Amino acid sequence: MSKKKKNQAQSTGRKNISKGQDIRRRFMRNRNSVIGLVLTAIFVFVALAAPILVDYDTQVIQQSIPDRLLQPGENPEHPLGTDEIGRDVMARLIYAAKMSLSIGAMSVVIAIAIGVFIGSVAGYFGGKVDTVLMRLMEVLDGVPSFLMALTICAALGASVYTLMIAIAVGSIAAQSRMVRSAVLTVKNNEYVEAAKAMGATDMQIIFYHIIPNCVGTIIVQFSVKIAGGILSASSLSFLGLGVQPPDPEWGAMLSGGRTYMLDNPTLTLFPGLCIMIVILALNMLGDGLRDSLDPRLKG
Amino acid sequence: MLKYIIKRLLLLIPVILGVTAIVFFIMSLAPGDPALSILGPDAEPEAVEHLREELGLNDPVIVQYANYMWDFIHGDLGTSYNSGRPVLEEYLYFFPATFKLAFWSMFVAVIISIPIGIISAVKQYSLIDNIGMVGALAGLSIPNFWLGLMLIMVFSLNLGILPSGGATAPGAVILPAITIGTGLTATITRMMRSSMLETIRQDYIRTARAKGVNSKKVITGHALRNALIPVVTVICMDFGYCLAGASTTEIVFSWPGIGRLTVNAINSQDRPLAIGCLIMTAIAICVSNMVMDILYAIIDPRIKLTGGSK
Repeated sequence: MSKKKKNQAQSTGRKNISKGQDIRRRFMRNRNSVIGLVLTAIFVFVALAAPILVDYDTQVIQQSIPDRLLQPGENPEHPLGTDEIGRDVMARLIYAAKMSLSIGAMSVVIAIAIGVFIGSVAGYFGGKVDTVLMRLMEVLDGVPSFLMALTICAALGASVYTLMIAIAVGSIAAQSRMVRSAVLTVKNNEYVEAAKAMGATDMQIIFYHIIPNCVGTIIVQFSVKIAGGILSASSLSFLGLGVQPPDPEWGAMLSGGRTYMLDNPTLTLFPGLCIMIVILALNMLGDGLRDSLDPRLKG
Repeated sequence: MLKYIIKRLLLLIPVILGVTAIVFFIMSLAPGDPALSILGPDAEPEAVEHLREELGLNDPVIVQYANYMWDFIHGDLGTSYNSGRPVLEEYLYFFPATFKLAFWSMFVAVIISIPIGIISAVKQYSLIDNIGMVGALAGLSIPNFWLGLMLIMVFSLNLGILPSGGATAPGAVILPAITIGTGLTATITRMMRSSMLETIRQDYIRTARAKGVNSKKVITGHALRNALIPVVTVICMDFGYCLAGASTTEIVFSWPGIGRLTVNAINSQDRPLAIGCLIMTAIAICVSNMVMDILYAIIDPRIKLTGGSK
């Protein structure tokens, strides 16, 4: 930037800032979104560091009947107490963070990948392709996503991978529809026409020009949908169709603690709090991202 | 109007076909032999084989599907493996409880969320607005089953003032309705606030104010009517999803509703019952969406019912 121009910018009292800086500034000004970001970062850190923080064999799944159902604080070795077969609650909560976050993230990655493909093809080509694809999505949407996930888990057998696929399938329809509408607003821009005039193929236009311009919408979806994915995963595990024992998962831990609710309420309290805080953080982050990436959507 | 309703009902056909196809093929992937699970592990192999033949389980999936659809057209959704009763009868037996729960949950949500949403919008960035919005965000984030358990812990186990489960005891609907209502309240409050904010910035509101209409009347008389339109949509849509039955909440409170019935059917591989429940659920959601669109046209004369799609 030339000196003259810089002076001009200063004299009008407005800095010349890039779009990225503008987005960052708007994001940081919102207290809720910063709290959401910090909390999410903490959970992601704990999830990534889980194998270092706790030892799976000796702490997470090690049973010890003499130490069963310790209250928090009763034994300094188990700061948050132990569960019905004497496993350390804190170690299990930490390890469950890894489970929940990776299931949530993976399911959304799968759903968004498929949704971006279907949505952009439908939106870009329009006409019959659009009608057929969107009708298919409507059918997929006919079954509520949670029941769909439940059916898939029951049929394919409960495991972490089934859980990821099941949750992903449940949200493909919503993802595609969202990407489609984003594509519809982008596709009539001049740069798409310019690319067409330069002889780019349809697929090139979709992948190099349309999808990159829908990234804002996709990022916002990402954080909000991960929250939904974690919630579905823990609900399914609560029903016994998700993560299988002895692996820890917040929903499954909660379900296991139900029987001891009267004497050991913390067994249901802690996992629930973890789910709630992580989802709250992701929702706050999502709201903040939406407001800063696309202020028009502010609600 | 009648033409529109007929058109919408006809559009249900491909949805039902699709839903049954998806559910049917997913369920047919399930391991295990339904005939064996009906007769128990000690059954004679011949008897199992006979039952498989009788249930049509030896046919290819596509033939089973065709047979199922043929019966479906004739109003027969099959017979539940578990209870031996017709699926439709079973569904209709459990439906009233789910409807009751959906109604009361929505009631809780509406009486809380509409006033808070309006106040939050009118007094934007005030203390009430901030508390309301943080509360709504928290409400969105609480898992239903956990909230349900916590309510049971406080109100049933510790205070002993409300029943912890079932549907027969007086006041049994209160805790499950609050559980489901919390999430609904959160969504509706946010919707109400943003819709109201948008409305009060319109020109006709400024005009009304300029004419000297008092501000209370501007809000309740002029702004609210228009701001409510998108909110009504959300309410109807959520109500439709409530009719699918809130599975986890119903299980936590042992509520005899569709959600619990469906989960139990899927878990116990009661294929006819599971498919039947999912189909009926899809129909319930479609019908409630249709009712929503019709209501929409009644409250907002600007909307004309022409096309079939949303």
